[in-house]
Amino acid sequence: MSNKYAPHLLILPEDDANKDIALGFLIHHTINMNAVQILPVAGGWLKVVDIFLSDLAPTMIKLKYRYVAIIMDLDKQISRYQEIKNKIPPQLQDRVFILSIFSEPERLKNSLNLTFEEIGKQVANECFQGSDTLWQHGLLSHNLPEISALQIHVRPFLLAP
Amino acid sequence: MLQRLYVHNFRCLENFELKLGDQSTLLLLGKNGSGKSTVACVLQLLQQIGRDVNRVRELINVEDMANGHTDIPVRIALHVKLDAVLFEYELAMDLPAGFRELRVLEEKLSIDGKPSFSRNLATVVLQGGNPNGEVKFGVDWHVIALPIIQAQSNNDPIQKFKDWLARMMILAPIPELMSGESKIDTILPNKDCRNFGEWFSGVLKQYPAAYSTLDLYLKKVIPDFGEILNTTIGVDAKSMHVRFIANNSKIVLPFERLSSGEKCFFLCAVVLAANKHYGPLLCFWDEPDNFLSISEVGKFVLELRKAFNQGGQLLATSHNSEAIRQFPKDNICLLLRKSHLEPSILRPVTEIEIEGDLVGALIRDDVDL
Repeated sequence: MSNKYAPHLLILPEDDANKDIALGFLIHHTINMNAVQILPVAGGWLKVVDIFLSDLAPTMIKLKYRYVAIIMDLDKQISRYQEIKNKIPPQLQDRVFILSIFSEPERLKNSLNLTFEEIGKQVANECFQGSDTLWQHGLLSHNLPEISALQIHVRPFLLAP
Repeated sequence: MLQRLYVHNFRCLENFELKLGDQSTLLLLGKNGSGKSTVACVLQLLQQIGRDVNRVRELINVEDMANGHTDIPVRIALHVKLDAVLFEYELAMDLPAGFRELRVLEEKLSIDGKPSFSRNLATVVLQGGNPNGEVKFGVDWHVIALPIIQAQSNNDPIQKFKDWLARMMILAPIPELMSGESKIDTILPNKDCRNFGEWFSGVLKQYPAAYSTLDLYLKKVIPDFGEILNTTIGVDAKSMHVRFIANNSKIVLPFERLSSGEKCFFLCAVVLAANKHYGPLLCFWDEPDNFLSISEVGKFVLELRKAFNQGGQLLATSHNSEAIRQFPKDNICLLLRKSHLEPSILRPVTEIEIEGDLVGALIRDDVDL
């Protein structure tokens, strides 16, 4: 990520599996790597919330072009999404996106028969094509509203010029 | 693509097998002394054979035999797939009683399963591509046969294999030694990159379009980068200078004046250009994160991974957490060596039980085989 005063996306992964999905997204040839950075893994969803509130939220208030995508597992607790969403300061709601796997990444990996990085590449490919086939998967379909918001706010600066 | 490397009785590598298959990038992790750089040494030995070094003593010596096991041959086997053709090269060298220099015991090259040549001690048998059938000839047993076997044309598979070996980029750069001056042109970089100027000149001379790849990368990572000037400074001698532009002002600096990290950006630019314009190549970069600021490491490593993901192969080592994070677990192997008396053991990280995230486990020294 080169210029923090230009639109950019920080990805906060909950664990290594989510981080590896994000890596696949970044190394896809269509993605502008200068506009994205993956942060160190948080190590659990509660820590995701802590890191977001203590480190990221204050800088987001100062940097108006900073967007954050949290990638995490819901562990079948769909209420967790709203729980986290409620903790995001109101003025940042439209710049924070929570993407999650309904159960755990291993199940998605086995279901798609892809590595985590390959899943990330497929996400990037769909981002490039403007489609959402992968997001229709049973473990991901609850993300569709967030994906629509990402397509509007983030996609324009995420694709390589 | 390097698909498999087997090494036996070379330094800390005993019955050592690195299987890559079709993986385009791989990170080797391990503590100091675990054998990561020894893997680079083996590849460098093969690279030197590709670069026509044929005398055994210039490639390996008695001290390289694992823990003084001079009664066991050193064996190296390499499987490489180039344009869907599989090359299998094997080399065994031993040290008979009374010898001070290793000799070639066996050597063999197969192309798509068909023997191209084989060799037992001093006798070489050419089997493939010869209209007169098998041809036998003698060779000094302290000389490797592959460099002296003449290819019939540039399209000869043997030449293709030798070129791939020669063009391997085995890198452990020492920026202080990297010079922008050149008296000759080459497309073959040294491990410490002291011939950087010669490599840069050689790449641009043979592949002028490579400058656009260099330019694109450097403008991304160094916002005030303007251009590289490779000016003549004498008969057959050139010197690299770099022009920087900011706020309508310009400054030209000799390459040697750049910082160590900046020199690594230029090195990365030539690596990407080489792989794109005369690749696909194998690049082994020992600690690519060295000399870089912490905010640059991730992007630097990921840019390499992204490029080699589209062709070629990147093997890297690292002790840097930010660099390690740029590799998914599927693309990481761990080397472990319990003592200097025991050989290195290699395991994919996915086969090791790890509590929490990998970097955290490495910091806590909780990753055991």
